Amino acid sequence: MDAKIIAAFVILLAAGIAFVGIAKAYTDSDTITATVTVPAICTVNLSTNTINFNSVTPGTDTGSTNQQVTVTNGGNTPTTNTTIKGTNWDDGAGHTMAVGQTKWSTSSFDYSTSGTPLTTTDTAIPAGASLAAGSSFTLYFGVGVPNAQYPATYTQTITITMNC
Amino acid sequence: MRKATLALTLVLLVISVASAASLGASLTVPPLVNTTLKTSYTPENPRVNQEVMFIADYEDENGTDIVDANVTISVDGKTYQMAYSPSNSAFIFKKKFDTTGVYFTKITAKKVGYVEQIKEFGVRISFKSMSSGGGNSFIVIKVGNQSMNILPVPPNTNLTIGLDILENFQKLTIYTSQQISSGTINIQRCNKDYSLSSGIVFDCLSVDLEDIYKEQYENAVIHFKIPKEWINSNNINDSKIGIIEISNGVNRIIPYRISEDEGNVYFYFKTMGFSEFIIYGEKNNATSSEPPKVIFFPNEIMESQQLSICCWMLVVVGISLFMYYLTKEEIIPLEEKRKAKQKLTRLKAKLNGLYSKSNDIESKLKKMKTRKGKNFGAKLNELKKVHEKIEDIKNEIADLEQKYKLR
Repeated sequence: MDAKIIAAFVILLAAGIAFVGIAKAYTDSDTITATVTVPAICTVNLSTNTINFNSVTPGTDTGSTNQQVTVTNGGNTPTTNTTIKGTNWDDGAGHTMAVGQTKWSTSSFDYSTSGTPLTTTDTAIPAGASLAAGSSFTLYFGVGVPNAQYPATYTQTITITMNC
Repeated sequence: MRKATLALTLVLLVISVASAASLGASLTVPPLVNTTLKTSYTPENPRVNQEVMFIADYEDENGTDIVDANVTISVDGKTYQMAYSPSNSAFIFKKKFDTTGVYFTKITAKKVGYVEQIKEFGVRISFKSMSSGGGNSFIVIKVGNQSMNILPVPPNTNLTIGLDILENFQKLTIYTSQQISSGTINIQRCNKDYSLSSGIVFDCLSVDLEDIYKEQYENAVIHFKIPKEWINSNNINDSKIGIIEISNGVNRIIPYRISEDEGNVYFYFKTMGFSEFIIYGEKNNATSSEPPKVIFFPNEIMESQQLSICCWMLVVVGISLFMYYLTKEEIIPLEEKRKAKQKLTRLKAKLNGLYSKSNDIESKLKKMKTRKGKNFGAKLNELKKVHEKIEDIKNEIADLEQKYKLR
């Protein structure tokens, strides 16, 4: 009986070894490359979409009273740079005022002594370079009105662009 | 049995996205408050070394004095601040004048948010009161848009004309050698835009005397000022300011530098005659010591161009008339000539035909055995007629060729 058991065990072992050998002989492998695009986005979020300087008398400026806008990188990656540009002031009736009458800064400023004049072409904002996702900075704006400026209500569009 | 193993590799692609946002800005520019400015001076006919009080009353649209306004007066070559005097309810400035003449003065009143006002007027400073005599003769002095008469000026006297309303010019002082009783002194900015071979033109003054002669004055001095802003922005060497006098030829005058203040550098120069005086400056890096040449007189060029155009038009009109005359003479003959040519061609063709016919007849006559008989006589007559026709056509051709010069 013992001999039968041992024989059966030996047979089963041999069969098992044979199966593994056969199985090994048929093993195969392959590789599939899947491409997943994860967009890196930096999004300009402004704390407000409008600023109003109210009434500014010809020959004067806003002095040290600035309008503020917080600019946040609402994306998922840091910016490479952030730029600002604007249009000329326009009353819609043919009267205009130069874009440079608006000055901006990343800190509060007095119009008569500092601030960077806005231009119609993109100008880099130092505080907007390498701005981490979720981070923000504040832009301060002031305006001066020439002495002979035609009385009217003027508007200007300021564009802030984040590149990443 | 086949067993497969899948190896999955993830490749992350990063796409850069730019984002922009617009911000609308607005402001309201209110209208300026309307204002008025009334100016006067007292006494009415001030004399040399008598104090003159200038009065400026700057009011808003309700007639209320604008007491905190900035009111300045430019007189006798300088600009002064006028102070508000509550007792006078006006801005006041007092000054004495040490020479006779006319001081053209400018008062400017301004305040932020209010309409700026400028008033120009002349102040006559006399040796004696105008009402005390002087006869009918007087000198007319014109500066800019202003004009004023003054009493005759005695010999060996400085006659000053204040030029403050001409911005960069302060005053012109004429030192008389004889009495000047009448005439006109007209002082204006030049109406020509001069350009120089080197240097930059700053300004130009034109002084024109009518019925005042060289014997009546010894010389004149002109004071002027140049804003430092002009000197700096044009990179001018203020020690190389020059005057070019255009009278009988072009003379160069070097002005004297008197002084400077925060805004201006002050000069004067002396002249023995009057004409146009171009004030120019040379740049700091200018190397030439030669005076610049006046190279451009737009108005004169315009005048000469107009003259030239006029001359050319006359020439063109003349040529046109001449051509018309010639053409007119030729119009009818040309048509006749064309017809004559056609006729000539026909006549020559006809002549060739007659020549052929003549040859034929002659050859037939030669072939005839006898030179007698009816046939011979007929052919001979025919030949004669052909020759006659040939002669007629030849004459006609000759006439045509001669008449219409067709040869």
